Amino acid sequence: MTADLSRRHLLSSVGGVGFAGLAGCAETELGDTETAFTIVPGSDPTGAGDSWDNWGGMTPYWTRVVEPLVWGTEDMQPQPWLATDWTATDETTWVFELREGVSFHNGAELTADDVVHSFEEDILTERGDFVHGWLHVEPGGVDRIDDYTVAFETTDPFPGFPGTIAHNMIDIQPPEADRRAGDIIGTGPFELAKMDQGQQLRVERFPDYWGGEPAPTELAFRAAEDATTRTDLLEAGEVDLVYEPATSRISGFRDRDDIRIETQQSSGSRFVSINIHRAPTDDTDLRRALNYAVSQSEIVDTVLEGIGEPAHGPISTVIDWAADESLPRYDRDRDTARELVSQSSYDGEALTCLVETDMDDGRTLVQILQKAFKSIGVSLDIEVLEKASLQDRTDRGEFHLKLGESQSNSPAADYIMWENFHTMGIENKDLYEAEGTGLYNLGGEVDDLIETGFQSYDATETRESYIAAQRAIMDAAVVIPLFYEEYVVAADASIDGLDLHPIDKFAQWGDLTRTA
Amino acid sequence: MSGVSGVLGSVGTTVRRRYRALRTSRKVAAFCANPLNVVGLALVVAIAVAAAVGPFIAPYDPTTQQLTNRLQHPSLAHPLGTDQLGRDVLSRLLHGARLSLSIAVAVTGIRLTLGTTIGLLAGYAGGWTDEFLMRLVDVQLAFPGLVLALVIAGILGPSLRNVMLALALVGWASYARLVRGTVLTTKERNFVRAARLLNVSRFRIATRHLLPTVAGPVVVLATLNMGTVILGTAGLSFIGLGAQPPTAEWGTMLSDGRHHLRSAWWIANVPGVAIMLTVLGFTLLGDGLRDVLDPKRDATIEKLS
Repeated sequence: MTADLSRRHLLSSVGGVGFAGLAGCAETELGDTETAFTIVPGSDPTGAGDSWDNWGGMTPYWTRVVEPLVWGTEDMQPQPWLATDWTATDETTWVFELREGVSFHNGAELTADDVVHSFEEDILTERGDFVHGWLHVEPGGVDRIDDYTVAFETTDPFPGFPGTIAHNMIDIQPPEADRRAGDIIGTGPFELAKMDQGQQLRVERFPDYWGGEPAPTELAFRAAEDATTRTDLLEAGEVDLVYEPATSRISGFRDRDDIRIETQQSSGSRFVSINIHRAPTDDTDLRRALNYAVSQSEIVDTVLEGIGEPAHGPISTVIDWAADESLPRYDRDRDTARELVSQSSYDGEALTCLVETDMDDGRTLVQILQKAFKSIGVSLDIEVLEKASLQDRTDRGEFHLKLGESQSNSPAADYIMWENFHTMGIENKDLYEAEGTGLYNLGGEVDDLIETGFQSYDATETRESYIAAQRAIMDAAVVIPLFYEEYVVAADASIDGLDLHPIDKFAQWGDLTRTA
Repeated sequence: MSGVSGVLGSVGTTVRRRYRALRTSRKVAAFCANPLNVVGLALVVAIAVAAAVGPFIAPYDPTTQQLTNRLQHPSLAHPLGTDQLGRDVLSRLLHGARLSLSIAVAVTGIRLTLGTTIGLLAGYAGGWTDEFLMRLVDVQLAFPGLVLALVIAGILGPSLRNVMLALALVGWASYARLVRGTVLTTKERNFVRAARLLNVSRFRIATRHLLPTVAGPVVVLATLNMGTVILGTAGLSFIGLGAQPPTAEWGTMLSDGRHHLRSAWWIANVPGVAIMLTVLGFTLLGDGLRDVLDPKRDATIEKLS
């Protein structure tokens, strides 16, 4: 009996110590709980698995450790940040004036040399050739004019340049930093204190921040990519704030006093892209019929539980040239849809719809579409694929429909139009060059309009061109718009000073405080 | 007329004889002596009946959506509630039972056939054939089964057919090894030697003398394997490699329900419990069958007698 008890006690003790140890490993090690906060973003802050936006164990997003030259306002316009002003001195030259008195976390002052180094040695060299096309700058195109002035030579007229470099990835670091090794030296309000790959990051207040000392002393960013896990962490009181809690739990949180819910329309939009170069979806009548079969408001009201706005176009309305109101409308009308199907070349074959495994509500949404299309006599086969397989199928054009989303992580959202709908955009270029086709590119007038929007320095002309392009795209029913995305943040009710932004990764934490 | 009644009478007599034999069988008595075996058998029978008649008695179409009726609690109209698209969970569960069981039977059947053939060939032929086939088995066993299945299903693309193929390709080795071992022992026994001396063909010796001796252990392994296959299928479907929407499959149902665990517990828990009971049923039944069909016990009895 005594031996049994001893063994039991021993086992219990070992188990208890082990559990406590494991729990201790997983817990956030923060100091003063009044001024320290634990945040769970929608994506892994340590960047596990991604190579192109992983700074040696930290993504440039969320943490406010590193900063770009330009930021974005809430109405998606470029905002002075490390650069205080910029001017286009000719069609392909931008001159940026740097903010004086900005300190890096190592105490050195930010100068033009650091900007040239960051672009020439890092951004345009190490991060892959795609950056050249994205920023329209080739290596050798960045020059120091004086200590606080830098010139950028773009490869072609690019009025969206300031808004495009307003991106967390286009950050400025001094030559002493070694991004790949995780030795990150930024200018942000917080400096990196500790990284646990795939687990969490801890940052500490940077007292010499050029924008003023931030209120929190410490922040921990925990990795939890599953919505249910994030939500459970908040409910268990282990974290203070989570992005994108599980949709099904939001209504329950709204009724609680200890948790507050904030929503913000994002720059994202969810839509179904239609392959217009593959039969039978190359038939405009069929594409319009599919549009007439879907009720966006039903989707928002039911599956999304009111989180999101019914969409009439592919571009989120937080972007100033989005054309929601003036686009052709396809309010659900099954009779018209059936009539269009009968006029079309559709002969009863099942259309293929691709959806990514990890897309939130993806499986549910495609099943709603499947039912909607069935009601007008169109059958749909769903294929849930992981990211690489989905990309492979897309590249080969072997599908009819794809549930996707567009989101801009910088105020200049022009590339959404270019990459998706221009013939030379990333989605269409390969198939166009190989077979003379593409995926979602109408070509001709739409290409011209997108080019005008992209290259015009006249904001009115840009807006009108993009709106006309969106009208043409919706008239030809190249996409089935579903909803403009809203993101949700659930936080401990005692937290104040939350500053959400249409670009979720632009959130600032400097004013976070805890009320009694 | 008298011919028909004669046939019926003869069938009746046979059934009665078999029933009497079953009732007096030592093996059946041994099986029933352990209540866990009976529980296992009952669970498997219940699942089999659900799979056979479920789709006919399901109250609703498993794919019919009613968005106005989504996330309804269990009620008289929907005894197991509705899911996020307003579909009846009970109907989906019953259709899923047929799918899960069919896949388990098909995959186990392929594994069993492939593994038994290879094991029989290796054990009986011996020499280089045995060496080659057993190294093949070693290579196959060196990979973690589910991970390899995941890779195969990932390469072939998501579908139930590909999941079946992937699971079948990774599970045959244990049958081959088991059958080979049994054949190596049996082929040295006197009745096989006698058959060889009588110039009986190798094929006939293999099929008529060796195969029956491996039936017991293979059946036990297959029964235990059924649960594993059901778990594997559900797991691969859970991560999106198996059944595609709107197919009513237990793994997919579980995956759909995980985001509603707090607000609609039934969506994930109902298929979860079904998977658990099915796997438990097959495991208990397999254990029971092993106790009864253990060839070592037969050999002991033979020696003793």
